[in-house]
Amino acid sequence: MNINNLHFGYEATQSIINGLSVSLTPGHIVGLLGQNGAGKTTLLKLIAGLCFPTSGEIEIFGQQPKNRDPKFLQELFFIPEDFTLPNMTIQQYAHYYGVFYPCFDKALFQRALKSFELNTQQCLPALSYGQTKMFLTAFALSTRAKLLILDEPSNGLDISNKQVWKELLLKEINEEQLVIISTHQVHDIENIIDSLLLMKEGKILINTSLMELENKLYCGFQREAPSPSTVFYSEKRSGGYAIIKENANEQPSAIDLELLFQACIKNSTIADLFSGEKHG
Amino acid sequence: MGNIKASIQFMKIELFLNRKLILWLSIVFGLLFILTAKTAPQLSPIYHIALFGGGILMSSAAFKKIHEKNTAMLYLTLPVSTITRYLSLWLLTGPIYLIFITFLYGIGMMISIFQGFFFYIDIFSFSHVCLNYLILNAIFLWGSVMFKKLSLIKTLFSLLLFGIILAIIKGIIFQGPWLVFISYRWAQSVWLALGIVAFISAYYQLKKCEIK
Repeated sequence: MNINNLHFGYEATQSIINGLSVSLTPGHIVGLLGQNGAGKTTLLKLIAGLCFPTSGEIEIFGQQPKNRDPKFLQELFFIPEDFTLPNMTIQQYAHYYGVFYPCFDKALFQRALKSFELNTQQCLPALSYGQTKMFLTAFALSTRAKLLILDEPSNGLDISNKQVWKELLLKEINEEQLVIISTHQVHDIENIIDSLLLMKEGKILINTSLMELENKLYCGFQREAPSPSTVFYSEKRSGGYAIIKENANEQPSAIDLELLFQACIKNSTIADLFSGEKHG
Repeated sequence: MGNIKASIQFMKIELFLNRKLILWLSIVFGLLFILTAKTAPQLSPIYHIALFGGGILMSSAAFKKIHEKNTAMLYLTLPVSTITRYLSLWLLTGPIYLIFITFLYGIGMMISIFQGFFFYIDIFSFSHVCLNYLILNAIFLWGSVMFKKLSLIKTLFSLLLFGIILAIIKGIIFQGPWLVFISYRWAQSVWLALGIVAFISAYYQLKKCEIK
């Protein structure tokens, strides 16, 4: 997926995406983070061909999404944040819509439904918000589409179902698939994503792998207030301060995505560490 | 999936989702045709109401899903080409609906014949009804793609506006002894052209439809 110098605005005077460029390759689960209004959902809609760029290019599987070619759409499944499902049962949905996806995996669909404790006779409009998300996740995975776009997929899921959702995603995604997850619930994606896209004001601020983040950044905790010159960002937490700083000593540390997000929003110099990187 | 196969599957979905409406239409119009079969002359007005009234309502609502954000995203990302999507709904609300209502009318007519009524079928007039329905169908499908809300009313208003503008143009250009001769031919041609333009325009509007 190549996006080059993308511009988009819902109105001529209002620009949402400003010269965004990014390249992504299959075999990754990418977390897309950004503040409200940063352009995350708009970017996802542009990738899915639901909006057309004002200028710039998007090329996915050699196609332009705005053409909405069936061959391209067969390789894409988009779970929007809010949606209305048709008035039919889960089984009927799979029967009527599954045939549009040549690689639709019925066995996987059944497995996923079982994991979410959904049964095929349940009527879609009668499902709760969380259950519809689980159902669509099951369907999306079963299409075996090469590009899965999930916008706030864990909203409405309870704690145990979030765990099931994570496990399912990790188990069923293969090396030929690319998953983009846009969310504000950073903890929900902490252990599943391997790459991170961070957006600010319609641009990509950081596009890198989690491994690279861990190599270059150190997230830790200390009792005393840190000197601002020694850290990118710190925030007061119970009993001390969570800090994020350059990993000068190559100390191993898990990346605290929430802290990183805040750091990038408050102190954009952190992005300089990753500038020029085009992680795949 | 080939275009024809996708089109059939797409139509199956539409028919399934609208199964209750189809059932009610069949019951209501079927009963009306059967009950009025005793008074044969009333069959024709009911046929016209069923065809034009019901058909226009359905055509106006055909692309409602693309205007509602919550339904549009899943609808537009379904792997179906725009032409398949468009032609499937045109087939359902146009020719198939026409055949369906004509079939119900035919049942009413058969009952009337069995009861001793005589029917004279004017093929020329019937083909005119069919053509007029298909033109109106194309215009209201265009309205369904174009207008986010109140597409039926807005399309009717557009038609009215178009008629007024046309009448003014006609009044200015075609005056004098040719008026009577030109009127009929001219009106027929404009009406047909309007249907064709609406049919093509609706497709291109659907193709460039975005979710904002």
